[in-house]
Parts: sequence; structure tokens; C-alpha cells
Amino acid sequence: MKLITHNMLSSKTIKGVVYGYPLIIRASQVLTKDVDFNPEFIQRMIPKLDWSALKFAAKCVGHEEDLPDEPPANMADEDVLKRIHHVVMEVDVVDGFLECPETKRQFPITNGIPNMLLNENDV
Amino acid sequence: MLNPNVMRATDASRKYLFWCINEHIEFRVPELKSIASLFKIPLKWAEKPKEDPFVILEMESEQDAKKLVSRCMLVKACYELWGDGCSSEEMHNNIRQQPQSLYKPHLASHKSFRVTVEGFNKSLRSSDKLAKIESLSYLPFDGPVNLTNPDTRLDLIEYYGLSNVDVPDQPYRVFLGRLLGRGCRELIAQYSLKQRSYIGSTSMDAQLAFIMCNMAQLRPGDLVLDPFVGTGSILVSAAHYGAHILGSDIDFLTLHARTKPTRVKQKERSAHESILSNLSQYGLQGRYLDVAVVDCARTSWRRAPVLDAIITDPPYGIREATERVGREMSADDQELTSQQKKQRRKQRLQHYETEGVKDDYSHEIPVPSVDGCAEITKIEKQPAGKTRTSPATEERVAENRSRDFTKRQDNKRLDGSPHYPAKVNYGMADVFKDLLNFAASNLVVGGRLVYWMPFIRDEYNSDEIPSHPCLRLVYNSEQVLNSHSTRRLLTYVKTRAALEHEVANANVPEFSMAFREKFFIAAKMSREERVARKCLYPRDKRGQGLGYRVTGSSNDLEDNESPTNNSDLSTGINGYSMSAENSPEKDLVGGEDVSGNVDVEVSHDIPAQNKESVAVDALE
Repeated sequence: MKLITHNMLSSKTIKGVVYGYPLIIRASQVLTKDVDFNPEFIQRMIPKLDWSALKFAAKCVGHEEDLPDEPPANMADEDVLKRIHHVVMEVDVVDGFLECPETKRQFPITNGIPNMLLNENDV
Repeated sequence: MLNPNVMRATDASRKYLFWCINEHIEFRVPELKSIASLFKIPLKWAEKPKEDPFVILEMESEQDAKKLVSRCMLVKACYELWGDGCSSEEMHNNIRQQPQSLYKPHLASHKSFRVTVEGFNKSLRSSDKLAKIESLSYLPFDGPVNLTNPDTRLDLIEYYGLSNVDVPDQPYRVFLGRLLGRGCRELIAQYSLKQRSYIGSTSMDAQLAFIMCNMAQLRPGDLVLDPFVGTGSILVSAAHYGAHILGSDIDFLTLHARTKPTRVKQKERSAHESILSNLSQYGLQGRYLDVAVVDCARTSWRRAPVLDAIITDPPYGIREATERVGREMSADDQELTSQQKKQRRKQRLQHYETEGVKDDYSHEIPVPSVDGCAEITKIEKQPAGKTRTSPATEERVAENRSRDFTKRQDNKRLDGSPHYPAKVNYGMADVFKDLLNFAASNLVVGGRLVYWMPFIRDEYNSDEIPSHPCLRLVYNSEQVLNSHSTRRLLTYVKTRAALEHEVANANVPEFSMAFREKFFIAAKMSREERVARKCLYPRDKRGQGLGYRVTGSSNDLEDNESPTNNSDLSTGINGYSMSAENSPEKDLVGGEDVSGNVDVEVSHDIPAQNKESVAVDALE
């Protein structure tokens, strides 16, 4: 699971959960993979990302220092875009859990695929 | 008789001939319009499109035509039209009347050329072809002939109708055009499912996947989600067009590529099979973001307008089950105390131990696949005479299923997934309702939702098309699946941000069960009944029909004609509004705006009626 995906997932589906966001990442295996840099995509994604959630996710997997504190004002700065690209696209949580910040319910990540299903009793 | 459609080409706006594929007719015009709108190319229809595969458009420049055709799946080739007519003489007269500026530069002495004669629905003798080429000798050919790589390639196309019985001696229509470019038909072979690394029982055929992406107007840098991703076949096409892709599905095993293989001779899924491998196969792995196990009934995607498109093919309950997490409960079940529930459960377990869980809920039937390889698909059979209301039955099915899973998982158990939640039938009305609500909240404004919805052919009613106040239906194209069933590709565009209280309206109560049951009832129809039904869908052999089939009951027709029914676009080549009167003001219809009426003309419309060229501005 890439951090860009983490930015779009929540545990609001659990009964009684108000925000369920951002999910805590409890990673047991994190890989960094090379992914082609596409500046256009990163530029378009930056305004769509919840920056504080991204910062939080980066902190969970130990990549916080790669990320500026605020979304960059200058979208043309390729160095900054490349750093953001590295964090959101290349850091991959292969194994571990996503944890609901309110109920602490855990969602397993296996082979990089998060399983967000609840049990039939929880819905 | 002079064909009144033949217009003089002027330098300002020339006519371009699009030779389309003779299939997926209802998708032809929507695809052209969608791509034109994507590239912001102004389009004018020189004449009303019909069933025949020749579409004539007026455009401002040759570059526009080339750009348009370069993205079309349903267009074979695009030509600059030099002349056309209902007979050879008429075409030659038409060419002679064209300004020399149209053809002179392309036939100059420094330009090599080649002339090809092509017959549609008839193979022509080479001596006839030669005579036809000779008949063009009045054109000022000054350059050398080059058969392999000409600067100017002229095609003389003769159209002999659509029916292969009683092919006429003389063509219905003749065109001469200079070849500008070809559609991207080669993608079909390149992305064929036969070579795809990971496929399942409902993988989307490459051609349709590309059409879906064209309807969604994908461009590089887009973010696309398929909430019923399956094996990711639609996303492969999306990635080809430069979009970054996300997928989700309720089926854990599908996403991990652990389901039963659907290829004929394949016994086991190999380790390299995955949705990512499908993309890597074409060098598109850089566009892959993630897939996640998500229940669409309670989606875990955060409510935020971030997606540029949602393209999907929800399960119809035939080959793939419609499921959501949950446990079915009857009204009296809910009133039971927890003590009583425990008691019941104990009884049930005892019952299973003594009787055993009978494995009579599934049987295997062969289903012909899209590209010819036979597949074995597991179909859940309903216990005879049972509806899905009994909790005991439901639980037995669920239990049965999870047992099945553990059995399959024994050797390849995946860590971290110790529990498989029970799943219940996800009513199809709910599937579509949830999908539209999700699109309304998670698409960017201007983003598109594209999905398939199945129908029983005779019972299609445009009221059953789901709607949402923030989503405008732009196209509705039918693909006939078999003698009784059909599916429609629906394209919506999000027009504004959704308010909290706005919800989708899917006016299809118990749709899923109804479709499932009707599907199998209809499949058992006798041959006579089937033949009788076919008569409901006549096709004019000249291709002068309107590109739609007469719908089953007379009710439908009345509905369609009623002026109050604004949302209806069930008939007609869709997205193309056709008005009974031919006054130019009435014929002007805003490109993709389908809020206007679609009037129904049942009679065969002959071109002569259509005196004014129908102008449709393709820009929104």
C-alpha cells in the first residue's frame, strides 16, 4: 500500500466512528520501489491530498523528513515534486496493519493489499 | 436523383469521412462526441448518422480529424472526403464540382500516390477495381505511383448495404476520400485478454474497456478508480491512456489472485499473476497505485472529491455474485434476545454436525467467454423454491462458502486474514445507488462515472436508469448480450459538488433478484419464442435505419414519444438527438446535452428528408 492510497482510506464505516481518519500505520514490512516520476500527476495530486494525514503517514513509516511541512506553493520546483513523489508513490507498506484512530480496530495489509472489510457482526 | 446530402466542400469547413466498425453501433456517436469534447474539437454532423458504418463530419482542420481518429476504437479509418454519391456518376459529378484547392496540392508532381478500391459487403473483381480507378482519370494526377508508401492515398469505397443476402449489383453509396489516419484498432490485438497475465470469469474485453475509457475522457495524470476491480481489466486500458489507477473489490481472493483459474487448461494460479502483473505486462506499472479489499456497501474510501473518473462493471449476479458484508436477519430474528440467538446457533451447529452441510448450492456450467475460450464458471444455485429471506439458508450458504475458502487456503494460507466475513446478497438497486452516491461525493466536478447495467431486453424501461441530482447522464448505449439480455453502458458527468442530504435514486426494487431469475427463465425459452423475439429487433439491410431497434412493447414507444419524458434517451443513436422536424433550429442540439427530447421515428428515415445538414456542436 502506497501512502497516496493511505491518504484516501478511512475507518468511518465502523459503527460509532466519527472521522476514522487518518488511519495509523503499523507496518512490519516497508519497501521502497522505483516508480516512474510523473510530475503532472504529482502536481495534480498535491491539492487533493490531505497534507497533515500524509505527514502523519510518512511519520508512521519513518519518511517524515522527506516531506515539506506544507504543500509546496511552487509547483514547478522539480526537486520538491520528486521528494513528494518518493513519499507518496515509492514507499510501499507490504505487510502490517492499518489501525482505526478511534476504536483501535486493525485492518491487515497483506502483500501490499489492505483489507478494509469489517466482520458481519460489526456492520 | 441528386443526393441532397452532398454538399460542396469549402475551405473553411471540410467534410471528413469516418469509416466505422460495423459493430457496437450505439457506441459510435457517443465515442466520437466524447473524444471530440475531450480534445475540444468542434464537430458538425454533415448528415444524420445511421446504421451504416459511414459517418460524415465537418471539421475546421485536417489536424482535428487526425487527432480525433487517433483515439477512436470504433473507427477504422478517417478520410478527407473528395466526393460521394448514390452512384458512381453522381460521385464523379460531385468530385468535379469541388474546388481544385481540395485535391490539386495532393496530386502535384512531387507527391506520390496510390488509389485503392474497397467494397463494403462485397468483394470486387480486380478488373472491376481497375476500371473504377481508371474512371478517376479526369483528376490531375501528376505525381508518380507508389504502392507501398504513397504520399497521397486515395480510397474509393463502395457500400453495398449491411445484409449479406441479396447484395445489390450497384452500390448504395460511393465515396472517394484521401486517407488521413486510422483508428486505434491495433490496440485490440495488443491488449487482447488471450495474452493477459491475470484474467477472471468477467474480465472486460479490451475493445470495450477502451471504449469505456474514451467515454470517461481519460487524459494523462488522471486518477481513476474501479470499485469492482476484479482482475483489473478495465484499469489496464485506463493506464494506457495515462491515468493512474486505483481498484477495490470485496473479494480478497480475487485481489490476491487466488481464485480458481478460468483459463481452459490452467490448473492453478501461478505466483506472478496479479493486477499489477497485468500492468507490468504492458510497461504500465508506473501508473499502478493500489488495490484494496473494500465493501462497496460501506466504502472505506474517504469522502473527498479526488477522483477524475470512476469506471466499473458491477457484478450482475450471473457470473459473479453481488455481495456485501453482512448477515441476513428476518424481522423476528431481530427481536430475539441474545440468549435465544445463542440457543438457535447451538441448535444449528448440532444440526450441521448430524446432517452435514450439503454441497448442493453450486454447480458448474460452461459459459462461453468473450474471446472464445470456454470457461467454467461457478454459479451459485438458489435452493429450489427458496427465497433469500431465511436466515438459516443464508448462513448455511455463508458457512459453506467460508469452509470452501479454508479448504482452498490450506496450502497457501495468507497471513493476517484469519477471518472471512459472511457476505449476503447485495441487491442490485443498492449496488447502483451506492455507486452513484459514491461518485457524487468522490468525483471531482466534471469527473465522469462510467458503468454497465444489465437488463432483460424486452423489459428495459428508461425509468430504471439510476439518477442523482449532481450527476448528469450523458450517454446510454446498448450492447446486446444474447437473445434475451442486454447491458447498457451509462456515462454520467458530475455537474456540481454534492450536498450532504442528496442521494441517488435507483428506481429498481428487487432488481437483482429479478434480473437473475429472469435471466435464467429467458435462457430456457424455446427456439420458436426466440425467433419471434428476434422479429422485434429488425435491421434494415441498407443501413438507413436509425441505429436503434424497436423496443419490445408498444408502451415503450409511447413513453419515448411523450414530450414530458425528458430524461429518456433510450432510443436513437444515442447521445445524438434526433428531431422529427428538420428545421435547422430544432436540429441544433448542444453537443453532449441530452436533456432535450429524443423523438422516435419508427419509419425508415431516408436521407432525402434530411435537407439541412444537422449541426451538432460537440463542445459542452
